[in-house]
Amino acid sequence: MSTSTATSAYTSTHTATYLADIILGTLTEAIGQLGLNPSEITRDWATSEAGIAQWIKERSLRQVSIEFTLPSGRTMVIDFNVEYSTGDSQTAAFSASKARISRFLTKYSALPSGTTYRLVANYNGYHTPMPGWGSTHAVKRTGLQTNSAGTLATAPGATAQMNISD
Amino acid sequence: MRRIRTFNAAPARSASATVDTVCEVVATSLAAASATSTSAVNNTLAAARPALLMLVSGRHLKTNPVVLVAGDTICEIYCRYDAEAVSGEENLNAVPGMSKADTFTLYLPAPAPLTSAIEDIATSDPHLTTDPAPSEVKSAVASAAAGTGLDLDALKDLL
Repeated sequence: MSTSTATSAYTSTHTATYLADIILGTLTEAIGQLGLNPSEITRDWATSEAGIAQWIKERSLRQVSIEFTLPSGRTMVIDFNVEYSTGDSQTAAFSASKARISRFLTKYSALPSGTTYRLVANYNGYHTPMPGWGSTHAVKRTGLQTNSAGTLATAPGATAQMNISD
Repeated sequence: MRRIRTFNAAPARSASATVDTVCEVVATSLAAASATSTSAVNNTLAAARPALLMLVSGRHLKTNPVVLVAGDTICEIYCRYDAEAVSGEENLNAVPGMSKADTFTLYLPAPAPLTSAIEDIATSDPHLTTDPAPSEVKSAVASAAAGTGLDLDALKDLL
């Protein structure tokens, strides 16, 4: 243990760590806002975090979604879309819109008891296989209406946006 | 004695790495207290981990600290984020002043919309609580009052 001062050169690892952290933190709070217990997310945190960060770092992650299935069979989906940019990533800033996203989430009321949820990732082509992640089919979104919460977070070389479809 | 520790979170560390670092500093600090059980500390930190992940990743620890109270030492645990976290200086040494502690409590903030989830976690271990953390001022006043017979209510009226 010691006192230390970090350097200030931003890397793709910083960007991946930052966006993965904000995506997981936001979806955890969304689950809480919807009246559900986020314990499944915290239980598998390391697996989710490692996968999302790795795929952002290699720019293969297109979207992370959390799919809710209500006891009635109705579905609701929260998407976190990741877009990548080129140019001088060293000059871009880290910023998060936590307060605005929190206000957006309060528009949604609690989901009924018995609602289940799962985390799903979509990719831009090849992606490194990560432990704990398997293949699946995304839920059908027929009839769902999408509302955009706008930009969730910005980091050097990448941006995450959030949509809710219900 | 009031202490403050501020840890570098994202993008310097992932939430899980930040929680690992916080737990390591807490465990090292409490290791100095021979009257506290190492297994109790480890159990408490394991129980607190899901709450700490939510609080760190939700950026709540930027302004709303986790508070470790052991003996007469109160340590507020904060995180810094964004560019500040990449260049921020941090002290990862054990928090001093806990060697005489015979017990400890980790006070967890329980902000909305995580209130219910964190309260559930806090009830799972006797060393965790979501009660408001004591302040150094209250502790000092209570300690002084116990020794001198001061009327606390009268003193509050003056503050």
